[in-house]
Parts: sequence; C-alpha cells; structure tokens
Amino acid sequence: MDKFKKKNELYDYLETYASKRKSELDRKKLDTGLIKSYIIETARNYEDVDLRRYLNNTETSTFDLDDGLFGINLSGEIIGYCEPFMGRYYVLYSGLKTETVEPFYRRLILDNFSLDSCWFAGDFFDKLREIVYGARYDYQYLKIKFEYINEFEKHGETDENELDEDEFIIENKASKIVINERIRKIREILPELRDLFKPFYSQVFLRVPSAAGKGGHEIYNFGKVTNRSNSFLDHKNILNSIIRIYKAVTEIIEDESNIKFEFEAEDNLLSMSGKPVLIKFIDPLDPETFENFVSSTFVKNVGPFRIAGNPIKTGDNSYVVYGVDRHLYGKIDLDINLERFLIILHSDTCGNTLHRLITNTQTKITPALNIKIGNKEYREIITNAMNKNGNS
Amino acid sequence: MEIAELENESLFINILLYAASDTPSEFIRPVFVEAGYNLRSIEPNIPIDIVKIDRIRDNFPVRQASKPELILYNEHEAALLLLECKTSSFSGTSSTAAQTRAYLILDTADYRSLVGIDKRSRVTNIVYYLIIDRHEDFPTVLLDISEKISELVGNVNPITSSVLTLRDNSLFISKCDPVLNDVNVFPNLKEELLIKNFDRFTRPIFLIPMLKTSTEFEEAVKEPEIIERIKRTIISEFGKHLDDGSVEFELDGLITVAFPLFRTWISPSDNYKNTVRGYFRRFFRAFASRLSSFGINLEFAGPVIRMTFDTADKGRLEKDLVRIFRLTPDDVPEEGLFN
Repeated sequence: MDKFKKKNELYDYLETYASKRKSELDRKKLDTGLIKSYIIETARNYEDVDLRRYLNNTETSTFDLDDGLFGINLSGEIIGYCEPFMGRYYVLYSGLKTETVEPFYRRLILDNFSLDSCWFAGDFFDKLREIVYGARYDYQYLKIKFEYINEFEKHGETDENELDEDEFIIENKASKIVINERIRKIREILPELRDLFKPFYSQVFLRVPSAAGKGGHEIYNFGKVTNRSNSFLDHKNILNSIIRIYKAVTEIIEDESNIKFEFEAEDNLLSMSGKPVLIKFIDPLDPETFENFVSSTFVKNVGPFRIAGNPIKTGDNSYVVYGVDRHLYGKIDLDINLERFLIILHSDTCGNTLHRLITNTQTKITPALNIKIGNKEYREIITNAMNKNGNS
Repeated sequence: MEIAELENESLFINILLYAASDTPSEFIRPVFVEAGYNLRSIEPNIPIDIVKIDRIRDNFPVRQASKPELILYNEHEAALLLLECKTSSFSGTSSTAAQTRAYLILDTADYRSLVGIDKRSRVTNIVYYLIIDRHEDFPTVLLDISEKISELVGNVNPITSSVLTLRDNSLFISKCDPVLNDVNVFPNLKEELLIKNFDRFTRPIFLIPMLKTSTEFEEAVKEPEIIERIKRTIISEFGKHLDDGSVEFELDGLITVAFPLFRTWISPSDNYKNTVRGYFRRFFRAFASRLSSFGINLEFAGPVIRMTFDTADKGRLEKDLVRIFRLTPDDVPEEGLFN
C-alpha cells in the first residue's frame, strides 16, 4: 500500500481504491486485494493498551498519521493502516491479499495477550440480519454462510509443542453451507432449515448490500469485514454500526455478569454481585467430543478458546476449571459437562471472552445453543444493545 | 450428587450463594432472588450488645459476636434475612446453642448503618438451613431456646429452620417449622424447587471458598478448589504483567483475590492468616522455580513480593506460564525450607 501522512489522504485513497476494485470485480478480474478491515479488541480500560507497542519490533514498525491513525511496515512493505475506534477497538485496513494480511493479523492477536479478535456468534448475526431486513428491500440479495466443523470429534495424536493455536489438522464432521438468496426467501426458509439441521444456527458470514452504492460488505465471524462495494465511506459506516453494537453488548455483559467482590465498612464486610452465564447445548455432546475439547483446551493448551486451567474432574464427563483467559489474563471459572457450560466471569475478565467462547463452541463443538446471562437471554441483551445504540 | 455430599459446609453455603444470586434457573434456581432477597454480606461479624449478654450468661452460655454465613436483604420490604448453614441439628444444651442465643439477641443497627441500608429494616428471620431431614424436633428446640432467652431479655429476633429435601430426583428447599409459622415472613419459601436432576448435579464452582482455621488450611490446600484458586490467582496476576518484565504483589491483597473472606477475617485469626501467607510464599518459590529459564528473580520484602523476569521470548514465557497449572501440592516445598 502507499504511504500517507494524513487521515484524509488515506481516506481519499481508500475511496478511490474501493471504486477501482469494484470495477475490477464487475469485470471479474481483480488486479489486487479488496479492502479488508480487521476489528481488534483491546480492553475496557483501553488507555493501558497501545497497539503500536506490539508493532515496533524486529519485524514490524509503525509510522503515525494524524487523529491517532498509524501505518504498519512489515519487512519494508506497508501492510496496512490502523485506526482507533470508540476507545477499546482498533481497525486494521489492508488492501493486500488475504493470504498476506490474514496470517499477520492472526499472529498479532495470538502473540499479544492484550489483544483479541471480535467474535460474532450466531445470535449476533441473527440480529444483524434483522437490521438488514429492515434497512434493505425484500428483493435484494443476501449472502449468508453457515459453518459447523466438529474439531473435537476425533483427535489425531498431537503435541502442544508441534501444534500452533490456529492449526488443527483433523478430519471430522463438517457442514459448510452458503446461501445467496433474496431477503424475503431467507426470512421464509431459515426457521424451517434450522428445525431440520442444527448447523443452520451457526452463521459465520453475512454479505450486506451497500446502502450508498453498488456491491456489498462481507462480515466474517472473527471480526473481519471485506469491502466489495465501490465506497469506502459506506464500508466505514458498516464498521461503525457493528462496532457500536458489539461494544454495547460486551459492556452490558461486563456490567451484569462479571462477579465482583466488594468490601464495605473499612474492609470488614464482604459482598458479592454478578451473574453466572449458562451455555446450554440443544443437543447434548457426545462424550468423545467433550473429552477431546477438555484435553485440547486445558491439557494441551491449544485450540481457539484461549482459556487455560487445570480441569478438576467432578463426575463422568464433568469438570470444574478455575482458569484464566489468555486475553488479558483475567479469571474465568467453568463448570462443564455434556449438557452445558456454566461460566463465572470475574471482574478482571473481558466480556469479549464470552463472545469468543460462544462463537467457537457453536462453530467447533455443537451448533445450537441457548445462552443466558443470569436469567436473561444473550439474544435479548443483543437486541437491547441494538435498540439503545441505533441500528443503521 | 448424593445429598450426603452437602455435609461439606463449603459446598452447602455455595449452593445457597447461587440461590441468592441471579443464577440461571436451569442450574440452581435463585429462590431467594425470586422472593425479592439479594445477597448483602458474606460472613459479617456482628457484635452483640454486652448488656444483653450480661443478662443471659448466668443462665446460659452465649457467644459474644455473631457471624451468620449470609445476610440477604429485601429492599422493597426493608427486611434482612440471616442464613446459617448447619450440616446437622443440635440440642438446646449443645455448644452450638450459644450461637443461636447470640442470633436471638443481636441488633443489626450497626450493620445497617455500616452498609447504608434502610434504618427501618428489620431482621425478618434467622434461618438455620439443614441438609438432613432427621430433625423433626429441631423447630421445637429453637422455639425452646427462643422462649427461654425471651424471658430474660424481652423481645428476640424470630428464628426458624429450613431443610433441603430430595424428592423425585430434585432437591427442594422447604420450611419445616410448623411451630414457628407465625413469625415466618418469608412466605415464598414454603417448598421450592432448587436443583433439578440432582443425580446429574456435580460439585459446582465455589463462588467463595470457605476457610475456617489454620489447621484446616493445611488440609484444605489439598482440596482441588483451594489449590486451583491459588495457582489461578498467581498465574492471572503475573500474566497481566507479561509485557513489563517485572511485577510486585502486596501479599494480603493477592490472597484476598483468591479468598475474598481473608480480608474480613478478624483477630484472633492471625495464626490462620500467617499459615495462609506462608503457603503463598512457598507456592511462589515453586512458581519461580518452574520459570527459572526466564531469569526470574523472586524477592520477599515484608508484605511485598517482587519478581523480575526476561521478556525477550514473551511467547514462550506465556506458554510456560499456563503450564504452571499442572503444579500439584506435592510440588510446593515444605514449610520451613524457605520461610
């Protein structure tokens, strides 16, 4: 990518860039990569986290633009630009090909405990779709993708020293379904599809038609948004909406569920507040899947969940874990069995942890979940956050 | 789970803690929250009026302070509910009855002002929770103790008992005090479902680990809930400083993170506190030994623990850090070797 010193220069470039790429898409021949935006979560007390700290080392360096933006050099090439969003988030914009930028982004997250991806669970996509239903015409097309790959059904002989967190090479049950249909058809068939086949609960991708121009925006469940429209500003508008809602949901989770101990009366009195979280599986897990999940996550310390701890066996296929979240190293307790995960998030644990746990449970363990924070449903919290934070 | 397992008092109290929090009802039904009561304090020390003690002690033994396991508060009714868990009933001549007498005469005025709740609030009930159902006479025992104290000091706090009952594989929480029914102002708890499918219910996460005495602590660290909380707390607090190359802990603060009741523990529990501090120091030695390849330097400076370490290979350090979860109590050096 080119080098810029000012935000407006970068925006102008990205606007022109988007338009060119859209023309190439129409000709079905891309000369270079589309604009991809990766949303990066830091922490609620984001003042403690400066992303540049993790990007100035032997491999990468940064250079500042105005308004808090900065560019990233990787081995002499500009791999992308980062912009702070609403305090606790950054967005990495890159026009490089996915195979170049995505491994860089994934490694950046996994290597730095202060960072995480954003995780959009099936319930989050359900609510995003409802917004799109209202904001677009019934005859417009949506592209949606469902994915469920049971990564724990069978397990190869692996060793944590040989296996990176994001490398799972196992042959297992897999469902990947793409639907490109008119909005009215999707609204009609999805409930029936879910009754027939549970992976339809596990949406991992949504393409939203552009509001202002041609094409659309592709939202992936790990916080990536690809611009297939001819407008960068439209793309940024989508990013703003998603991040605003996601932030609100995350902070409601933190405010309501996180277990806090408080001391009163000169430290002589102890009180406790907070709500346990329940992830109930609509279909109970098979024991092999469950035991392989426990072994991978807590014994071999691999896999996508990023939670560590020593499982205490409390019964057949039943464990309690007093653990840590490897993003921010907050405390998290799990009481898990074939039917459900019960979770205690402590006050130093980020609400993002719950999104990650839900999203990965749904795509990699079992697709249909019923989630409650205290006695309120997760999807209800998402709805409330959307209502409070606008839904454009 | 067998109902007899609830004889572990820590487990018993924790189940009531879930019932006093907004817990998803599929797990443990929040019967107290549904009845309008929320958790207010855990194991508070409430002193007893010495004048009242003086009027009683020539006739009956009485404790000088009370420490109910939980205090719940109903803001709407301005009502306080004090809960005490017992694994078995007791007689009017047992030493436990001295605790009952303290509950009967305690005045929550100081407590109310300390936690800033409505001055009009009153103790609506002190409930003894029992896990066995072989205590048909227990309400009568409580009534008898209550009447005798009332003769000496006048009005006393209402006191009653409740029992957990297993029926049709569900655990119910039920009132069992036909005698004391007139003082019961907690009507929503006649018999309420607490846990369904009790045979599939397993030892849950302990929201609060209860530690009683120093001698018990040495035993307790062999309990998985205790050792895992210690490891987890140290790994969590160390992990937050992985970028920094150094970390400093105030020991009592760190212990309070693992065991919140540690801070509210008052004299004469200094022996207990020192035992716990000693164990944490020993654990830090084991911790530093596991990470020795990162040039870790551990220093005890009075109440402060300092560590410096090399962050050149932060990725490997982070991976080794989570492996410390595999430490067992046997890996922790014996007392006396290091402190």
